[in-house]
Amino acid sequence: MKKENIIAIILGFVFGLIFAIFILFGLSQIQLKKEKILVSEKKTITISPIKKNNLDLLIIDSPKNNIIVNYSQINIKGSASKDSLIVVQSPIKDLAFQNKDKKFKFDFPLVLGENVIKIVAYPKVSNIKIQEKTLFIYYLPDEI
Amino acid sequence: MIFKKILVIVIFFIFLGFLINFITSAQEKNTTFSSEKEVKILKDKIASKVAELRRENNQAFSGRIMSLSENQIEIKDKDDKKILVKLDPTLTKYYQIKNNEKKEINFSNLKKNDYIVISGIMTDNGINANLIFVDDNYLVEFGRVIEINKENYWIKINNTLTNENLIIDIETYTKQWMLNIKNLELEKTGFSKIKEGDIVNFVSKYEKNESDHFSAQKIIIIPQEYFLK
Repeated sequence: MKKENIIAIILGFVFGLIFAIFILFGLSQIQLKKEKILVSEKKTITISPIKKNNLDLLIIDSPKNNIIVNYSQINIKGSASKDSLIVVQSPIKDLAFQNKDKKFKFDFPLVLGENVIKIVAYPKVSNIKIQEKTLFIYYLPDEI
Repeated sequence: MIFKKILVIVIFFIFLGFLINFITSAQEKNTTFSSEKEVKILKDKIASKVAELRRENNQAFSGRIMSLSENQIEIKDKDDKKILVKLDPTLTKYYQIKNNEKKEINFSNLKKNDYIVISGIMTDNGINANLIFVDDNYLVEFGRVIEINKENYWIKINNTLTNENLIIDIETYTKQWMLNIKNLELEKTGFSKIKEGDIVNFVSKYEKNESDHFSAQKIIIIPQEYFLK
């Protein structure tokens, strides 16, 4: 075999190899791009927030339960569902009102010693659970 | 002449001695007075600090007396938890609360099953009691009317939260109020107006009568129609 022929064969092999590598590499890149496109085309599932119910928990912000006070009246502050009926009862006082806003506050009298004050929130809608809180307030004036 | 001079000098020194003595004693008196004042201020400061600490740490507890001994009381609180109350013969004071007034009593006036309010400091071993008040224990509850006895004037209510049934006697002294569903005012009412399905909020002493019922002191009726609006 002539020297030129051997060189031509070697060069042909090398170029063929390079071409094959380019082809294979190019194909794999195209496939990867396609896959990426497929992934990006997947619809993003967004979890929509649960529609806020009109139900709010009955919360008493103040006074704290089981406190000792040295005054014969307290200011009760809290919140409950809008338009719910709030009934407040203790051995010396009864109160009922519609909770026009979410927040409420009112003055409430105390007697000497232990005061059991029950606050019940009756929601406007009858299928929602009634909520209640009981406060134990100790009016011990000479103690403080 | 010399004798006169000596006499003047001696008198001068005696006078000087008196003057020094007077000044010293006046200073001592002043020092004693100011130190007494300082002690008084310190005492007042300590007293106010002790009062402040007592105020900060003091807590109120209540429960029914289970047992009594010379230095301690065992009570059962509203959650049926047993608590030991430590008594100090020189410090602990006892009162009876009646008609919004307090009257001092003795330890010997306390008896088993009394409901007491304790003011004191909670420790690992129990409550160190400063003050003990014998008080009334009230039940303030509510529920839906599930049965009405028109002969004996009682109603059975079911607490929708706890599912507990209670029987309440409507006594002649029971104050009865009904919610006017139009203007939400509380109006006086009578036993005959109560219907099954209504909601009743009531206050009673936390002890059952001879019929094993609670005697209502007052009730508020919320007609079922309010919830159907």
